[in-house]
Amino acid sequence: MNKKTVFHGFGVLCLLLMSAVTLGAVHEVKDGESIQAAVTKAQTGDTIRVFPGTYHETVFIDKDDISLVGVIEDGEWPHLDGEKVLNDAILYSGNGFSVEWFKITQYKGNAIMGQSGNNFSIRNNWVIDTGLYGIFPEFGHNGLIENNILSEIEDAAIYVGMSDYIDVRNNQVFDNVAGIEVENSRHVLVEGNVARNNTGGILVFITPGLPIKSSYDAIIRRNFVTNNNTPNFAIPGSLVAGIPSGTGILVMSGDKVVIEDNIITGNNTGGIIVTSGDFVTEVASDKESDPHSDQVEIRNNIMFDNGNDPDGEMKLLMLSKFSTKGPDILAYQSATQKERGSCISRREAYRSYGLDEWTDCDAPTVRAVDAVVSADDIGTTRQLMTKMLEAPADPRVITADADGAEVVYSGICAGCHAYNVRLIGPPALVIQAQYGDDVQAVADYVANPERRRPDFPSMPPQGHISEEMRLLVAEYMLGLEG
Amino acid sequence: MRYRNRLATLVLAALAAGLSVVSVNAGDAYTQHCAQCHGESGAGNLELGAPNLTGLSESYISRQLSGFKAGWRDNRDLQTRTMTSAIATLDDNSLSAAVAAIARLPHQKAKKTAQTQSGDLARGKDLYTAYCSACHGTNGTGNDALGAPSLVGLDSDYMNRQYRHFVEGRRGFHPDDRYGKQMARLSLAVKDPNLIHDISSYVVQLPF
Ligand code: HEC
Ligand code: HEC
Ligand code: HEC
Repeated sequence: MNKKTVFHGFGVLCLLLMSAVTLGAVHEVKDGESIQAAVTKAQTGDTIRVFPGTYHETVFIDKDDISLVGVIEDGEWPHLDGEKVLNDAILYSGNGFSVEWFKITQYKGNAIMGQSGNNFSIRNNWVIDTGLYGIFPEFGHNGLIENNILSEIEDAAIYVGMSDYIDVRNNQVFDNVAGIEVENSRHVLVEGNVARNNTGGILVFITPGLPIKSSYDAIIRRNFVTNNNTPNFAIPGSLVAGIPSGTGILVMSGDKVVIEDNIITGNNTGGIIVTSGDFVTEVASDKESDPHSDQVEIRNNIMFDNGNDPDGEMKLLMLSKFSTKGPDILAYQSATQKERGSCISRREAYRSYGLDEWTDCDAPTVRAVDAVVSADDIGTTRQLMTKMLEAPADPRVITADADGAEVVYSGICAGCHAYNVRLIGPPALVIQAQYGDDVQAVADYVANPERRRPDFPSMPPQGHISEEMRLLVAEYMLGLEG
Repeated sequence: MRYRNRLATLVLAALAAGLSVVSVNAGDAYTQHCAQCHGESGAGNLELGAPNLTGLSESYISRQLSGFKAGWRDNRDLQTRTMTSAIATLDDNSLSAAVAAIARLPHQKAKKTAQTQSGDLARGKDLYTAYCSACHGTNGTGNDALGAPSLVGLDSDYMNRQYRHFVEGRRGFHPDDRYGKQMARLSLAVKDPNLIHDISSYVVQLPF
């Protein structure tokens, strides 16, 4: 084979690969038919168009490059309705998955959950009361969450969990416990969202005891974070149940977080709270996670009318500072320390506490010439358009071994089970105490979970995971340490 | 203090030897066989280290009674020895009659122990939520499906002592004691007696 044919062959291969992505078949699903049946028929690269109608099902997508596209006719949406019986509307583990234009209501677990799929896009969905989470990509690299509307979610409406290189833009989240949650995730842009009337608007934090141990490099920019005063209606005992109502933006253990150009008003506890890991629980120690919030930059936000009626413990804290009102900005616990390296622009503009040791950062005047894409960097994040990757992330491959088990555990189980913190499900440490080394019993439970705890939601069945993989995951869970 | 312990020892020894003169009013099996230590109301007796029984479920109590008989709690402890010998000669019928009678007793509050210093309640709550609530329930009232008893109603001395026994392998060691083993494994996650005291201080003030 000479060089030329190699090159030629490569070209053909590239064309084939490209066509696989762009020229897949189109499958149509009409009212009364099953979306899952279409997914089962579909092959990598195919598009599934779902027409208006009501669909009571859970759709699993484990193939790569599937697009699930709702078709709206005369204002009628394709409607996934869980009737408060089904757990999840859409669960994907395939890479390159897109889902758009669905109305999703009345599920118990999630509207759209990603279980370790990379290169996803979730846009233009309308989600109401789907239980614990609305849109929840878990353990994914390179994804877009854009233009969705979510309300009445018991935990987080948009929950970026253990994921990297994610843009969350232009969504509207209201009447949820947490509006947008960036948890144990890196390289995230949260921009242009409306987060209003939640318990907490936008949260960046570390949950200890998860496989990914850090949360850093997040930009929270140009969002409207207003009136997040809904009483906390999370399941008592779960981690988010500790978020004070009236919280605009909360940074807890997050590092390198830039909060810039937001409009933050009417949040009754405080506009921005920066604190360390012991804010919601004192005991959630994880020796591999740093509980401090380092290098937080708060720049050029419009803030007023915050802190009118601080919630519970925060009220006591403010009274101890001789104030009945909460602040625009509060640094609390270790976040007050100089060595954390945080900064604030125009500090005199805000009512704030705990910022004495913070340095000043720039909030330069932005002239018209500074606003164009080609302008010089004047010390804002303006020139940065996305945190997503230039080229797609490598597809996640799940091998039938301990590595694969770690991916499955991180992508599925860790969404509800942390090591020694109570999330949605019991901590892994508790499950270890119950099961000892009985791997088989865990694998069986997971396929067919029985309701045991009246004060927890029920666990969604994971029978779609093969027996072999369930055993591997069970072994992984029972062997976890801290 | 010393004196009180000695006295308790004597009383316990006397009771265990069946020398009790506490009235045996021909009531139900509970009044006959158990009330002299656990109290007429079932609320327990701090001096004797006999816990409140009124919050416990029938299935948990029955399992504990067979456990005492089968040596699931190690007898180095005076209190355990006392309880073990108190029921040694009772047959299954009397025991189940006693259990049924306990179920009819109204719930009694946890007794306040002599311990002067309460633990840190906020920390106790956080620890309880993270490490205990998934089995003993968010409100501490137990979960029979998991074999985990209600902790509400137990006094903090008893709780702390039993917890220590799990940590030290003196309870939950027997191969047949499936639930005891689970609790024993769990107990290793929080071993510091101060933290345990924070937890029990939090639990004793939970409402029934
Ligand atoms: C959507 C949240 C969620 C996900 C995802 C999840 N779990 Fe659970 N899990 C729960 C809840 C809630 C319970 C408690 C259920 C009950 O006791 O009624 C539970 C209970 C369990 C139990 C049993 C405890 C017992 O009492 O016997 C095991 C084992 C378990 N989960 C393992 C797993 C594994 C392994 C995975 C991943 C494959 C997983 N879970 C994924 C929520 C979840
Ligand atoms: C002589 C005193 C005495 C008598 C009589 C007695 N107990 Fe006890 N009981 C104790 C003591 C002391 C303990 C604490 C044992 C320990 O610390 O291990 C105890 C513990 C128990 C426990 C364990 C409670 C728990 O929370 O795990 C149960 C159940 C119990 N007793 C039931 C009974 C019943 C039922 C009777 C009557 C049939 C009875 N006891 C009679 C002294 C007594
Ligand atoms: C894995 C589930 C589980 C968890 C988590 C758990 N327990 Fe238990 N616990 C049990 C079971 C089961 C028993 C009953 C053991 C037996 O049958 O002897 C028990 C018994 C106990 C007892 C003895 C009660 C009595 O009446 O004698 C105490 C005290 C106790 N637990 C405290 C705790 C504390 C404190 C925590 C948290 C640090 C905790 N438990 C966490 C399952 C659990």
